[in-house]
Amino acid sequence: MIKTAVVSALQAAGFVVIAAGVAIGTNAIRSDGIPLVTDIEYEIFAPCKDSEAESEAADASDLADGADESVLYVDARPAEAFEAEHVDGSINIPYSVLFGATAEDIAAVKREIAARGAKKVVVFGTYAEPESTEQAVDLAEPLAQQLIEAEIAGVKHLEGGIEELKKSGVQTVKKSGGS
Amino acid sequence: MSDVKTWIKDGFGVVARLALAGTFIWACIHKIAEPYDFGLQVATYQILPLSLVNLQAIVLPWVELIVGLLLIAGLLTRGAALVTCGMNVMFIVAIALALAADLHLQCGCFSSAEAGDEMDASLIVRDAIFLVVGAAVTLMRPDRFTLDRLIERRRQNA
Repeated sequence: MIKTAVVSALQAAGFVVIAAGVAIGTNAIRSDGIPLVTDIEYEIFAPCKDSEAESEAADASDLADGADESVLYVDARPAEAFEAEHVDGSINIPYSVLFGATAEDIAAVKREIAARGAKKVVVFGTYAEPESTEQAVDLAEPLAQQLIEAEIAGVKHLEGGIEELKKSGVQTVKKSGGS
Repeated sequence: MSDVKTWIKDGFGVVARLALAGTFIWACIHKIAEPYDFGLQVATYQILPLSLVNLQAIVLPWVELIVGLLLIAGLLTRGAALVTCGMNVMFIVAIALALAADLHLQCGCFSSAEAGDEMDASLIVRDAIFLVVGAAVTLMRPDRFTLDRLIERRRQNA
């Protein structure tokens, strides 16, 4: 039995070697042969399903305490707002309405997901200039969309910003140290 | 073993062997005829580094052809069937990785007849069936219609 298996394996290896020799030899003499090693990228047209996906709104079932590492909270507000108050365990990716998030920011989110083993990413953040009379701008949905386009799985955006999270009982940390 | 059982076993052996051979030979024709197109299909899976794409595209169809011809002839049948098992495992892994990455592509297994048919999980089932058939041919004694058995009989009579 073992002898048969060894003989079969040797035969199989022999076929592959012979086939490789025939293939390379034939390719070398045919007029439409291709180089053994290409140095020109193939033009691949295989769009990713995720790149076409749109960000979905998070609901209560997507939220967890900041200490729960299965959920990564991404705060899209400017750094000053984040420093003033933020969700415990969240990371800050300041989203620019004009320029979006930077490649470094996207890479930071990926690193954080890998480090925590997070299964969900909840993006939140609305922002209005201090003392502005204009309505707050939603930064969460466009950032979530950008993360999805960067092929990050499990991304949702939360409507209502940090206030909505506080209503759901998620702990926040204020600059003064309070919650 | 009774004659009926032996005939059933040999009958299965012939059908399995010829089904595998036919599939692999049919699959290799367009790949050998159009190496660039097949190279593009290999590249589309985005599994191999660019430096290995062409080598794979050149060698794989010839392995399919040689193994297919050996299976038809029933020569070194077990070794040839073992190669089909290895190739089917490779195809299953490649398709699974492409599906996991949500790549929308055609499998590139056969001719352009399948152009437009997007790959799905049914291809894994199909290749798994071929894998089981290949494993059966590898493990079984070659059927009575193979050259292996003819050579064996000649040796015994000599």
